[in-house]
Amino acid sequence: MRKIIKPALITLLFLWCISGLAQKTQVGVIGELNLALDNETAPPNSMGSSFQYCEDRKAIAYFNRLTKAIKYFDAKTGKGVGQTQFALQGPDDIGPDPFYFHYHNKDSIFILSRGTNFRMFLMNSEGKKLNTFHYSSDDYSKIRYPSASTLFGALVVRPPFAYIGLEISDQGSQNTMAPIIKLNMDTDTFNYLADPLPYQNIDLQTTVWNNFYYFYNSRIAENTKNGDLIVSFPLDHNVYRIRSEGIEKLDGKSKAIGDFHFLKRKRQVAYDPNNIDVRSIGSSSAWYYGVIYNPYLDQYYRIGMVEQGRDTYKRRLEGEEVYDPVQYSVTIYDSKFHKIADGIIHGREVLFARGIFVTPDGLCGPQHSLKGEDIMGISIIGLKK
Amino acid sequence: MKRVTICCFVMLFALQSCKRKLEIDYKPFFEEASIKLNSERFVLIIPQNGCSNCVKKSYDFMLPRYNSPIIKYAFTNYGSKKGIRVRLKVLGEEDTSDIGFIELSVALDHGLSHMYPSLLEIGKDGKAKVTFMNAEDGSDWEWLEKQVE
Repeated sequence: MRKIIKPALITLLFLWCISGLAQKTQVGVIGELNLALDNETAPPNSMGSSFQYCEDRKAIAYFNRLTKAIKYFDAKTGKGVGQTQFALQGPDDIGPDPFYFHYHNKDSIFILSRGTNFRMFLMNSEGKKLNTFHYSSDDYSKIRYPSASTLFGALVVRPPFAYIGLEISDQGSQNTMAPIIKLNMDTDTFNYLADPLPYQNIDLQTTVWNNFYYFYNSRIAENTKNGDLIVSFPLDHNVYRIRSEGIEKLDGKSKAIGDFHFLKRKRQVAYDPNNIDVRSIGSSSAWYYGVIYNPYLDQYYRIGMVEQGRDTYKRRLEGEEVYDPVQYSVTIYDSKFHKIADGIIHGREVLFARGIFVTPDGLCGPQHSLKGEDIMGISIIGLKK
Repeated sequence: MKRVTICCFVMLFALQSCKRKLEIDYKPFFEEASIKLNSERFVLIIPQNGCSNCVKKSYDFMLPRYNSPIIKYAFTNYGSKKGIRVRLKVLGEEDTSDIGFIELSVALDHGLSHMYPSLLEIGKDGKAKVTFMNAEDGSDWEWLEKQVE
């Protein structure tokens, strides 16, 4: 009997230690901040907006797309501490639908805007246009038109180069180059990176992403400490590390992101959101938002959308009305992209679809607008101790 | 022959059912949504977070006819009332006091869409005909433009 009890006790002790370690590395909400909005600023709508922590201001910058202004909030108190208002027309105009900014420093703010024939504007904090860069092509038969991704990870600036993360094409013939532009700002010339090629093992005609934009945003994270670039695609568990010596495929699978779903048929190229299989997959399936690097903690976060419910996709396919809660997957990696911890964040805690950014405190995203129309709650996510 | 006739009747009935528009009792609906009607003939309900192209068409229609006494505008499926008011202000409409806001759950309970704009044609019998503004050829918007001219 003693022969059994002793090993059993040791095993239990071992499991207790392991579970203790696991508890120490849980991912969860570790804080919050309330941004005080002025009378012309509202939280982002369902399409989201871009946010960024500005090191030189110690402030969170939020792109108020309604008024074409970047609003700055003190990162500790959440109080408004100024804005950069862009011109609505004239020579300093930033286009009809600016959707993304990258704050390099107060003299260099990069803006991506729709309706400008693929131009990127370099502005300063006073809203003055300093330069315009071009990345349109004459022939889109072999590449998709270069529509940049949204929310985060669409722009990495490493002078004289800027890397632009683009939407992936739903036609294989247009995915013969990486969906990443490398733009030389000294010469205003660009080329597409040769690798990584997206979705090489997927039959693109069985995907639904011409109806659901979130399946085709490629995103780039820059490790500002060692120069690595990490590329993430929504329907790929791997990520791709770009270094001067080449590209390396890394395991970037999050525990909560399982199989991706595809159509059982080959769909038309046309937009067809009303087909039940397209809707079922589009509204239930899992995907990755992308990877973002936090230089203050020297960590990467891979954020994903967890598949809704158990068999929700199949139940919706059979016509059942299913309302499952939104859940996000957040996986934290160290600077070498070794996994530290996996976690699930409930949609009532944060709305990553509205914005994703990092601060010295952790990974951040806006909350539901439950605190009134003049406060934007921000949840801070990280390792719970 | 009998079977064919029955099939034809069934198909005709089905087609007729598809064509029939949704009708709602608008008084309790507007009461629940806290919307006051004056003498408007139409109410256009725009789902702000719905189909983006449809929302754009709604704004394109609304802005030149913002002060028309024939039509009232209301929003549903929105993230923020303030966001809509600021957007209208940027687009040149300072006064947003006549704009209605309808909770999505109220709109859905009355059969309206969270995706497409719903046009309510106010009848004298307390009923409103509902048209979802999603015709592929744009004929619904053309028809409405003529009504509001």
